[in-house]
Amino acid sequence: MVVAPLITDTVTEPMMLRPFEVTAVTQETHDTWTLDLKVADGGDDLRFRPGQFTMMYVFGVGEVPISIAGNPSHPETLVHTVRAVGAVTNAICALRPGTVIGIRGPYGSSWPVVAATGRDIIIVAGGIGLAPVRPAIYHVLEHRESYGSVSIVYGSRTPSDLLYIDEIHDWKSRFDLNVQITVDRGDGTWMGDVGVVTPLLNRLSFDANHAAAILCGPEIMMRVIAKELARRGMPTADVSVSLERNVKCGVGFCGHCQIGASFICKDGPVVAYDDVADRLGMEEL
Amino acid sequence: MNLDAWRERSPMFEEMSDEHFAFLASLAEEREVPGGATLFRVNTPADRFYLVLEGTVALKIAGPSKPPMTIQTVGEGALLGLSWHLPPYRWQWTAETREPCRFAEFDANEVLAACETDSDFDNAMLRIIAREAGRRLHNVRIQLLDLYGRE
Amino acid sequence: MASKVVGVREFDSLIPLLRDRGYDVIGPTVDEGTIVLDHVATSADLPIGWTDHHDKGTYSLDKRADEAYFGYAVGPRTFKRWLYPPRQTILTIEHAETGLVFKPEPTADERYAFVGVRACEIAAMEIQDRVFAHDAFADPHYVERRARSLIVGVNCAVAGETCFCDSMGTGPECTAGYDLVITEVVSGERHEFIVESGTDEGETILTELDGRPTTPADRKEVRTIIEDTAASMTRTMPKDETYSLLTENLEHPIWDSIAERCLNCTNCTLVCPTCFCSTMEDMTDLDGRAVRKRRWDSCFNREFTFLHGHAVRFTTKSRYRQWMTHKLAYWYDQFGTSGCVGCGRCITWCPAKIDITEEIAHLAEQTREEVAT
Repeated sequence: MVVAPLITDTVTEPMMLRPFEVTAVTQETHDTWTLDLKVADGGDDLRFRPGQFTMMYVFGVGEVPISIAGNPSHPETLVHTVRAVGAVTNAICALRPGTVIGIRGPYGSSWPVVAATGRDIIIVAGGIGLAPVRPAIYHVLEHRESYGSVSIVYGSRTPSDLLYIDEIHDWKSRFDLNVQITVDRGDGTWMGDVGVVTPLLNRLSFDANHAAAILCGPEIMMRVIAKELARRGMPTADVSVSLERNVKCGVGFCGHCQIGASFICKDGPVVAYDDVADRLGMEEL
Repeated sequence: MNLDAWRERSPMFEEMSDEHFAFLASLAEEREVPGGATLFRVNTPADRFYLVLEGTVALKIAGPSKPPMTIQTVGEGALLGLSWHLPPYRWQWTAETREPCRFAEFDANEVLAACETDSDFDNAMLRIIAREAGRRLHNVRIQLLDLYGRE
Repeated sequence: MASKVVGVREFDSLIPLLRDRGYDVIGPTVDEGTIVLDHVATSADLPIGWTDHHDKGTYSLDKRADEAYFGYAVGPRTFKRWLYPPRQTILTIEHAETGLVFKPEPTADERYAFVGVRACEIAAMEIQDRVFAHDAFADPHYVERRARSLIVGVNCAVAGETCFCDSMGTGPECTAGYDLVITEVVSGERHEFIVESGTDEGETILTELDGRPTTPADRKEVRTIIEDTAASMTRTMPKDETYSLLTENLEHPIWDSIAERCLNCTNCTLVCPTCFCSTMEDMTDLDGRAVRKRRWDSCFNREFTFLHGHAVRFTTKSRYRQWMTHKLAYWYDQFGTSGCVGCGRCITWCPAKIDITEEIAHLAEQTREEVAT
């Protein structure tokens, strides 16, 4: 039987790894590191859209899905921010410049930054969730004139858990950006906000009918924020969230990452809140 | 004071009728406070409350051998102070402005007096306070989850 | 396309003929009291004179009164075992001086001829095509194997007691997707095979089989067999109604009732001809070489949804719900079709005797009652 593919530009080796060399490692916090990588097979740079992820493979240890945290207009450097929580992420965080690891991807959907041109932008991140939205922030800042008001709200556990602290200072010093940071627990020197992110939304100005929201963090946080934005009059179709599930193959073959009808690896990780609102509240879906 | 624009941004008084809110607003005194000022101190009589119009206030408490620690910050859109309506009518925290702030300030005795004469208004105020207390409890519970920590 | 009526002796030349044409022939054979699919070399390997009995959690073989070649329904194996094998090497990784070298696994060069493929199996292959071949990503191993294989279908003359393909619209007649299709006629002294071709390759093979031309009576015989088989099915599934029934009842108490019985044994997913879940394992040896293999996995395994060290679906209830809602509801969103072909294997091979047709009927009945009260 001849089975002709229905889609002609089908990727035929969709799970193939490529070698990437670690060029720089920066410790962000006590448990989180940022790695710069470059292609080591002489091939093309890994071009990606903000919000996409790759599978990172460490020889002899294993493979994990990690969102790309770099600048989409500089694909010559692949940037990943990784928190050391399990065997593979611990191995990734222990890598030193010069080591070669495997990368496949990019996979998945992306933040609708292009579709949101002309709109007010609200970016809300919690914890490590700042990493997957950073490419969207880069895009928006590089095309700053194409957007209305731009707000970044970031919640972290403590002041020492804040990622990208130098960049946060740069963002805070801009007059065309409303940056709100809060921590769950302050310390002796912390002069910023303390508490959950939701009340910070009161400080944002945006046109609810002409805005796009990008949310990335714990599901509970995203749900609370999405509801608050809806209360402010924003259509939930304009709210995007990034979901996390057990992504194994990255291409929709293995079934592990399903939530309802969506494969997080190919229909996600970025989805419209509208499409998943009823599923997020449901246990064990 | 006219607080309609403020009300639109904050979820706080969503359920209160326009009449009740307008009446409450009529009792407000606008107040500007420089940064670093103590708005009220823990354990002193709670005889007023605020709506935050601009700026941020830190709620602090000091341990026996620790410097005062900020447990929460409240900013624009917040209702600051519930103790005026709840025994023992004393502040539970010390409130310090983080930056120059603008408030709508209410004299608790004046509002309580109005509550005594108008049970509908009293009900409406109690609802707001219950809702705000519930919201704060919800937020504290979310903080307890340590959401951003290692999962 | 052409058709022909072939006697038993002539039919026996089919498998050798396929082997001569370079095919590795996979067909039914009796093994350890079960009709399984495996490599077959001659007609003698087929389950001649055997039939199977099915019920919830029950399977047995029995001798037929005749010498029918295909006088049984379906066994525990499915042809996905060859198109999407239980273990598949994806790539090899070498730790060289210069770093890591990744090599894709070449696609296999086997050409399979699948003999005795039931209509439900063809439907299942077409569903797996949508998973592995018809999306933005295609699995080269599946695509290659599928494209190179030959399908010899069989119209079912016997329905298993757990079969419900008629209500799923997937059988018992092979309507498309075959190279050759056989209807076996066994009655009294008569034992013949009515063979039709569906492709050029099928037609070429058919010309090499001796036989007589088909008559209108033969074609009528084929229709009668198919209609009788369809009529003999006792189980039904309300196809397409399952979507809303399941998605609207994700919190229904029926899931607790099923969870009390389900053992999480994964049998239903392993015997299912459309289940496609897999996991990947890297076998790393001490010489600096790793082999990445894909192997069948099941949504009933607790580790299936591990996220930060915890299972998202940590109860049996949620795992059973995932399996059934995926198969009978979300599959429509994902692949535009039900994931069920009505082969009944998950009913026969469930040691806890859970019957999806019964559970769906219960759910439908209970929701109707809820609406009524």
